[in-house]
Amino acid sequence: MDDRQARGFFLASTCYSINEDNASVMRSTQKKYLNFCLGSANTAVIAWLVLYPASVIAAPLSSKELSANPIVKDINMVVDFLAAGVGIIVVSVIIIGGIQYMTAGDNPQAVAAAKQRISNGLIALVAFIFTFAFLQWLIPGGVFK
Amino acid sequence: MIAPLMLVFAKYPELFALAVCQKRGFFGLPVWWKYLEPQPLPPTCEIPDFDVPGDIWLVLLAGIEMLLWFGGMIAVVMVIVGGFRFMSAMGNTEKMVTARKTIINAMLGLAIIAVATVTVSFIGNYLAK
Repeated sequence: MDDRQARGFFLASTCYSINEDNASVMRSTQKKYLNFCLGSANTAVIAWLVLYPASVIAAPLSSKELSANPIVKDINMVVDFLAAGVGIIVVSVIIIGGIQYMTAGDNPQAVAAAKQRISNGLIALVAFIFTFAFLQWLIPGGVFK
Repeated sequence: MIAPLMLVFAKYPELFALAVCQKRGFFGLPVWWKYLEPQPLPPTCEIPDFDVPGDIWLVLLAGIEMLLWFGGMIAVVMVIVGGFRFMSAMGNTEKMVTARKTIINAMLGLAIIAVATVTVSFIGNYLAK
């Protein structure tokens, strides 16, 4: 087991221990909390696996050399491509939600489903904005030009 | 009737392209290649070349326009449906409430679609400046 794996297991184990304390309190929140913990532990492990090599590559380089690095170029290409699609996908999800809203008629369940879809689209937009801010802060020189 | 038209089109291929290569298809429904770069001159009616992955978002943009088209059509249809329910309510209060809800939900859905599209295109233009 190397350093990274040890860190991942450590994060996961802290999550499980917190979860055990909480399990006695309320059973319905237990599953939600476990899912959240597993999700956050996985995210931490993945972030570590991605960011540690990136930091090793980027550490000795200045900002100008960084943008010439082929790995950073490829990462920038993928990030730019995906960032271009966020607006389009969010708008299409909201439009589909609006169409659902229209066809709901007077059925309150269908209206609730449409509202759920629209709010999910907005949550995706907010998540992208926070990711954008985080990457701008994290990577020297910024990902987005 | 057709023959003189064909003669004109044979003489001016640009006119033919204008007449036939409309970016609108059936009943105003936009075509999926609407935002792709057109072929260089002389104009033909072929679908433009499609690059993967560069043009995926342009195709999805046309998809959004199709969804907007469908949204407008469905709004009109749902308002008509609500009107019919209102007419056939015959003073029955519950049925009248149902009909009113149908119409209000149709208008709300249309407003959501319009606001989402306008907001995001405004932000996109603002950021692209």
